[in-house]
Amino acid sequence: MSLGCCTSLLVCTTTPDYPIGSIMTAHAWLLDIGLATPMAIGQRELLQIITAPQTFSVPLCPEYARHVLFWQQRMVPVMDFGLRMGANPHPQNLLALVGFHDALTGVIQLGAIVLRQAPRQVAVNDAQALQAEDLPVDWRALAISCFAHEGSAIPVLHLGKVFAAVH
Amino acid sequence: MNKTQVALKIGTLMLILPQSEVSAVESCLDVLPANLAQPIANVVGTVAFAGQRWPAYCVSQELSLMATMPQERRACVMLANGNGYIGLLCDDARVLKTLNTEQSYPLPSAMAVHNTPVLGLLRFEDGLACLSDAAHLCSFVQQHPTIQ
Repeated sequence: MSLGCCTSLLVCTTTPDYPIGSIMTAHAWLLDIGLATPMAIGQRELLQIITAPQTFSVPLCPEYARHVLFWQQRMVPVMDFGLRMGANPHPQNLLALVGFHDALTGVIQLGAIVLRQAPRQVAVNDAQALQAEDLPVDWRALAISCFAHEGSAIPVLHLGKVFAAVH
Repeated sequence: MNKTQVALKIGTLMLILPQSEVSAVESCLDVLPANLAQPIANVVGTVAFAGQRWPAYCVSQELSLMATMPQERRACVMLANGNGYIGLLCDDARVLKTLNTEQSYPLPSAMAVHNTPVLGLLRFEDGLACLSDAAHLCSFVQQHPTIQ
């Protein structure tokens, strides 16, 4: 699988306003989820940072997706994606509220990802694009693209797959 | 739609199901210990209802099946399972006549597990309630792996 151009996937809804032939640059958020390297989401997928949220536990759910919160009269699943990918559990006191298009329902869905520290914005251009083979195997099915940053391969999360059923 | 519901309190868990699916509420004092000579998987005892004895199940607030009955359990709701009834122990059962379940949310797909009896979620009082029904609760306790 080749993930190809990463910037077009980070800004998939915009009309290009750059000269033909130039290197396209987009912005991404780097999220620290407790793993050795951060993961990325598109600039527009991060809706809000929520601190000290009131969350509610739901019985029988996977350990990494056991809570929900309420935001603007919508219920939002909270996912400790780091825990799902092998990190240690972390208190849910800093969350990234994300919005993404759900291909199954055709509507915008919300989710919240547990963070270890505040997200950091970075500029990414196509010269940084990597191939899927540069990612660990576990990440390939959950990444929409990946890019090189500070010596690491950073996966860009496919949020629709991250918040889909996996059981 | 406003259908009359029953809220079962199980520890900190609030479990809501349609009142029409609760056949009766018995006292847990009527639950007799399971017959060790003829054990039924995961059953804490049997309860008399409609002229027969039926298996009674006890779950924790995390919806784990329990082998023994905590002191807090005081009531046993009888649920029809198609072939008869089962009893489900709870701390308290109360009727909710004005609950609007249209304000509920389906369980997010990332949170669903096989055979879960939790069908939806609802803001309820100061917390969260889980919506279920008799068919899914019966299936959950009867298909659950045997407690060791």
